Amino acid sequence: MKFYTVILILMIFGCHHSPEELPILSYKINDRGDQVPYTINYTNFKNQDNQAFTTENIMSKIVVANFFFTRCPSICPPMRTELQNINEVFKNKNDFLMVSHTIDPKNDTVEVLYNYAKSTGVDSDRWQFIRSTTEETKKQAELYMTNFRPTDDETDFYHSSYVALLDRKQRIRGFYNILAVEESERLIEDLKQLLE
Amino acid sequence: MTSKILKYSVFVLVLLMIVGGIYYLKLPNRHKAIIKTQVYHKLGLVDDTWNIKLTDSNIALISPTFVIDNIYKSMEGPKAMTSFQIDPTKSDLVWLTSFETKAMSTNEIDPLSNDYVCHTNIDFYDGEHFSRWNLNDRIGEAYPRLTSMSNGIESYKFPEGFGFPVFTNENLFIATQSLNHNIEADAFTIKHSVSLGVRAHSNTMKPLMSRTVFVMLPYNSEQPFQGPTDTNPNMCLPVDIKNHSYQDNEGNSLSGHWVIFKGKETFKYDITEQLHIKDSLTMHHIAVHLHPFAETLELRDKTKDTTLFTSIAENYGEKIGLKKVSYFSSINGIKLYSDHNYELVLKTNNTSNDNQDMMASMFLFFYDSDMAEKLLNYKKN
Repeated sequence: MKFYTVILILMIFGCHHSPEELPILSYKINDRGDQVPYTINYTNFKNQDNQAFTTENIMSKIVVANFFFTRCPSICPPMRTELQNINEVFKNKNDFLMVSHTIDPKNDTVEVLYNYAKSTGVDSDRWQFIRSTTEETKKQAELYMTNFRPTDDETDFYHSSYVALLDRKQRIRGFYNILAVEESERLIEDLKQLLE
Repeated sequence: MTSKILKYSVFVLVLLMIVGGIYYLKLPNRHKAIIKTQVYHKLGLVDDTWNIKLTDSNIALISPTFVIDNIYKSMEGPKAMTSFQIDPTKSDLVWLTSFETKAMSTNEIDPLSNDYVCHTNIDFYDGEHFSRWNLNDRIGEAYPRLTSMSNGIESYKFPEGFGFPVFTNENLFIATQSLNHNIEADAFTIKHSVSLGVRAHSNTMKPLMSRTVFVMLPYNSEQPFQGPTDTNPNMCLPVDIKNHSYQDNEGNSLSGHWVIFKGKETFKYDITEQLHIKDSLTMHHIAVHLHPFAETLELRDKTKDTTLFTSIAENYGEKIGLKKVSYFSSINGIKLYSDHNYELVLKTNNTSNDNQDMMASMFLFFYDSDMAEKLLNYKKN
């Protein structure tokens, strides 16, 4: 099945031309009105193997990052499938890493994340599922230019179907709504460019 | 052995073609259009690329080729979407001030009738847009649609001095869909040409933010395509319900698309919740999205029992389509209040002998005071 998925993706995307150089999108406007560039850093996160996840884990890697929770009934399952497909395309690239941040640390314990990660069939050194406190995760979401919040009835969370693409210097080089076919195509093209 | 493999392969192939053919024939018109467009584009039978050009005053986006081989009602025709950045090589602040969409020949020069334009939507990524200005609480508050142009309202510009601020390397999204209510001839090809007016940053510009309001009507989720009758208020849906249906707080199913029957009808919908006004807001621009056979769409202040704006839709007499739909644009604007209730009132007149599909939206543009505060200190990069 995976073989056919990869063949299909290669057939669909194989003939597209290279995109222009990707912009650097990780900057914010401070109170004085200046554009301030920044890089993505990690402290106080743990992965599905109960090991510390730090900035060192993403150094010199091309990273695709998203926010999710394991009980998510809506957008997370198709996002997971799409990320599995993307991993298949780049499975021979050692400097490719996917990082999924849980926004529900209360329920998504290390053990839950471990089982969830295992069910994806992707090695843990290629797809890290990480958790921290809600406060720390909110700060991390701000760095990734997104946010999340519980819905009114608190049975679900608002969170985005976008993933962010980081270069080897931990700068954001793109945002992609991977639930849209055209956006997944663009992510794959941009990944190829950064992994070259 | 080889001939046996060949025989079975041919059998499986023929079987797949028959099953696939039956599946395809059972698909609704709009899904057939999606498949056909994919085939045309992926096989390189027609141009599948977007031609994007930036000048000092606008960004022009010319769509891939659409093959019009059928009657395509609203929401059914071939469509294309792409993300784009005004200029990915720079991070300059600029202002979007006007919008235009039109149909054109595949030579990208000759204009065609706008009867082939269903709608063109422009969206932004709210995470990137608001986070950059440290307005994180606004991420996910509303669907990040900047605006929409549609049949009858193919171009408009904001009042002088107003615009939507974006960075040139910010992700924007365009989706454009074709339409053909009338021509049942041999297949022909078209493109859409979309132009967004871009103005360099100036401290005198005033930021607008958009909010979409639309009429929704109840339907029976068990039988979404049947009715309505005198005893069954089901509005029955003309399109698949996946992307166009909603649930209210009581769990009732509501649809933004429904069927209208021959004759005149009036539809009302309270939009106070959709507006979600926390403090008073000043409205400076309204773009309207209607389908043929709509006559007027009013924005009413229910609390004061007054009409704030009436958009008039002019239908063609000799064919199906909207000739013109009026829009609202004002430098002074109109105030909307958090303690008032508002509604949309849609009047339709289906003069055809067939059932027709209907929808009604308004894209309201308010002065964005939070963004204005952030922009006060902005220094050019």
